[in-house]
Amino acid sequence: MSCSLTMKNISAVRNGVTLYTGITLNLSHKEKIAIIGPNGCGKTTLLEMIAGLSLPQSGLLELFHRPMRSLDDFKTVRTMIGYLFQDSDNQFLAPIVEDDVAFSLLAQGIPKEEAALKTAMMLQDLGIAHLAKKVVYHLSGGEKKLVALAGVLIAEPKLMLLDEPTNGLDNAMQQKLVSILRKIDKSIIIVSHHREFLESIVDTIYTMTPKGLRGTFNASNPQKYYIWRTYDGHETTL
Amino acid sequence: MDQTSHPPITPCVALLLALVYGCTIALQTHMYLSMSLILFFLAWLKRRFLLIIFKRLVMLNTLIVFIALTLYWQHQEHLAGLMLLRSNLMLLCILLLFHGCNEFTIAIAMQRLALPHKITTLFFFTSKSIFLIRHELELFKNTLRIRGFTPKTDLLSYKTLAGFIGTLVIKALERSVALQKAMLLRGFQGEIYTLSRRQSLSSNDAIATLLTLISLFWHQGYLL
Repeated sequence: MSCSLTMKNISAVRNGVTLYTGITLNLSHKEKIAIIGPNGCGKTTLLEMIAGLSLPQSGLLELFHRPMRSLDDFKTVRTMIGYLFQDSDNQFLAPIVEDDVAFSLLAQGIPKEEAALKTAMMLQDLGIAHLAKKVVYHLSGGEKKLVALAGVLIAEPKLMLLDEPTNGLDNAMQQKLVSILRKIDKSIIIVSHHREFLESIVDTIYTMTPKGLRGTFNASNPQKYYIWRTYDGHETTL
Repeated sequence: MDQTSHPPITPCVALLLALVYGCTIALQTHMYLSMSLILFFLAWLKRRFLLIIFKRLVMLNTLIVFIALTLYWQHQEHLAGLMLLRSNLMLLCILLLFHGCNEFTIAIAMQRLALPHKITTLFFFTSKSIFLIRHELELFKNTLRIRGFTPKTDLLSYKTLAGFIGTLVIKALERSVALQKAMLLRGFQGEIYTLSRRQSLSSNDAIATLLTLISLFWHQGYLL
């Protein structure tokens, strides 16, 4: 199975404080994982490193078998990565829903007619076709999240990074998001505090603690696998 | 607001009319009553909101009147009157044309008029930032209300307001960083795109265009 992402002994520093050292993570093709942990432990920083918004302090980061040593290296894989922001307002680059969803396609030079067709289909798939002509900033929190997700999905990324996708969503909207994410056949990393939500989507949940220890938890069979990994990459089955 | 909901004057036409009317009026050396012809038509279209529009005009006049008075005291009565009339005609026209349009509608209109990408993009991102800052302002006001804050002329009030301004600046900076990240991640290349086709024009657009041209080129009823 090909590997979408490899991280070896990654360390990160924020505002002069070391968040973690020795993070090791392998993400297989179409594997879905989640990262949980207390506030401020560096979950979003980790996602930003994978997305090429910042570089790790040390360690090896490989995306689609290509080592990422500088921010320029990410240019070649940029279109293969989709990132869903914690705050959807930050994600929008066009005022109208359909224009924002189509943004990535149009930026890649895809003809308007084709982009319009794909956008309409994407909005239909997510059940938000009725929002196509609305101004993005006038939508509810849940609607904004779905529009932002549509904008990510339409670019057909191979790896999706979702930062707190359930933030501010009610139960019905969360269920809708679960059913959408379950159907997506891509590599996904989700950062969230919402364990119940994660267990219904991902294969593995990693725990990130301020001390840097992280465990893996097989959501489909919690009794069978419960593995803790240490900084040096050792795995211990509990 | 639904982007497709029709204001009385199509935003693209409103932008063009504001530009033509504003620029022509600004260059006039004599004022005529006929120049206000288009304003009567627009006022009729926006008759339900006239009070709000006039209140805004009065507020905007604070600075203009001050400048006009300064000119008057310098014995430049004609210039003072001309400035007062010209600026009020332009302001009233813009207020009447764009009342009820939000900043995003104007950004879309600019996009449809195929204005340079840099101007449209800059306008859109500025309006987006203003919208988000306004949202923060509302949140802060609500927080103050909920926590029982009553502004007074004391140190606590000043500190609270200063803290709020500082917070707004920090949040605006954070938003700009987040925007830069979104641009990087979504392949932004200095342009925002639109899928929508051009809007069809209404009879109001045609009447407004005609009346604007008459207002600007048919000079009757000398005022100044």
